[in-house]
Amino acid sequence: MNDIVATQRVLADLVLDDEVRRQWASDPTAFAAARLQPAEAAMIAGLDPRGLEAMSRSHEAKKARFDFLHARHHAYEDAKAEKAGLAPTHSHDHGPDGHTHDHDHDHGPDGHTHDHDHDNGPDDHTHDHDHGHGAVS
Amino acid sequence: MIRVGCTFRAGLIPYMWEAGDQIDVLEHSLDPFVNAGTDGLRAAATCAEMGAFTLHSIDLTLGSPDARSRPQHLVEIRDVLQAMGADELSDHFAYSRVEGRRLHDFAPLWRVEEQVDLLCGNIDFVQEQLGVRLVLENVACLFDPGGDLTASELANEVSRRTGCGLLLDISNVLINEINGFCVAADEFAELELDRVVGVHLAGGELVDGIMWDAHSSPVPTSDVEWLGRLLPDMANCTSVIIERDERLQEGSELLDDLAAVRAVVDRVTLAQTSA
Repeated sequence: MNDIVATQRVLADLVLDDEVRRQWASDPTAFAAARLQPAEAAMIAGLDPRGLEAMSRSHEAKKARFDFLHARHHAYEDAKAEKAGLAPTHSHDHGPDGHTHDHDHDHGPDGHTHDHDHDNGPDDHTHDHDHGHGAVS
Repeated sequence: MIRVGCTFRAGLIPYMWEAGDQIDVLEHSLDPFVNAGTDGLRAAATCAEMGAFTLHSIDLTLGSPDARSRPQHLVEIRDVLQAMGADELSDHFAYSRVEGRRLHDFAPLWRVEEQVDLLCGNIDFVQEQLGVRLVLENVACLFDPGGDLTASELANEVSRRTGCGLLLDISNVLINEINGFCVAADEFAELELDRVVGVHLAGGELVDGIMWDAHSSPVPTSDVEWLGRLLPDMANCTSVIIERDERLQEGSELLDDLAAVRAVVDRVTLAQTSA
């Protein structure tokens, strides 16, 4: 019985964490055997280092673009709120344990209120607020 | 009827204007409309009013358990689908979230039975929640996790079990062949083409010996030739979309791509009508 969740967790570590990828590259078989059952470990140990590195670079590039557009979106929302005579209430907290992110928008007399409460940490992921601009295919 | 079109990107508007009746369908990205309040819904409805469209998503992460972990996200997607009057939504044979962590590129699937079970369960769940049919697209890989099935065998099985449609990205199959992960002719031969409801084509980019699905250049002639060979067997295909996301200032290349693809579609349609 292959453990898909476990292999995806290790693969995400490899893509997202340079240090984990360095540990894997130094001895892929030992790295994988220490974390996974034999069938899953064989798959992870057999990954192509060049392709894995490429995916990590791709992730970083697309994340940078996403973060840039995300910031622009929020700047636009704040400017719109300010124009409507409302104080923008935005707070971001990108702490090490997760991405917490609070919004409280009130779009004025037409009655469009818009509340978000995000916590993208691994243990308590309550809400997401992505605007695309990620992977393409 | 097979419609020919392209991705809708603001930077392509001048060229789309020039293309006129060369474009009879636009592919809109779902994700910018989601979680964007009434502005997002209004934008989505406006795009739907522009004419025939397909709707494409990149963040359903159907290959991982995270597909079920954001119920509010699915509610917001359903609102957009309703605003647009959409009855289908495409996404990918891949995953992009793992236990809340986002990968900003698609992770390819390990093609084993347990992954097929997980994927099918997620598709059933999301189709039920959204009330529309999902259409799944094969991705271009930067590495290949391998497995017991080929990509086409996996796609056939998932479509059979869930009723989802297939979006065949011909260019992605050819990119995977260039990168050494498959034999394209074998993948095309194995795929049950009557399950294909749409086709994607795009130009890639070779960087450091790896071909990337960059959507940045003209569609290669080989990809258009494959379209001509495969299309006669795609009885349920309704659209052929050219994806273009980079080097939009060279949008005149898109016009050439549209003309080449339309010539193939017209030839196939004429042959079918004559027969």
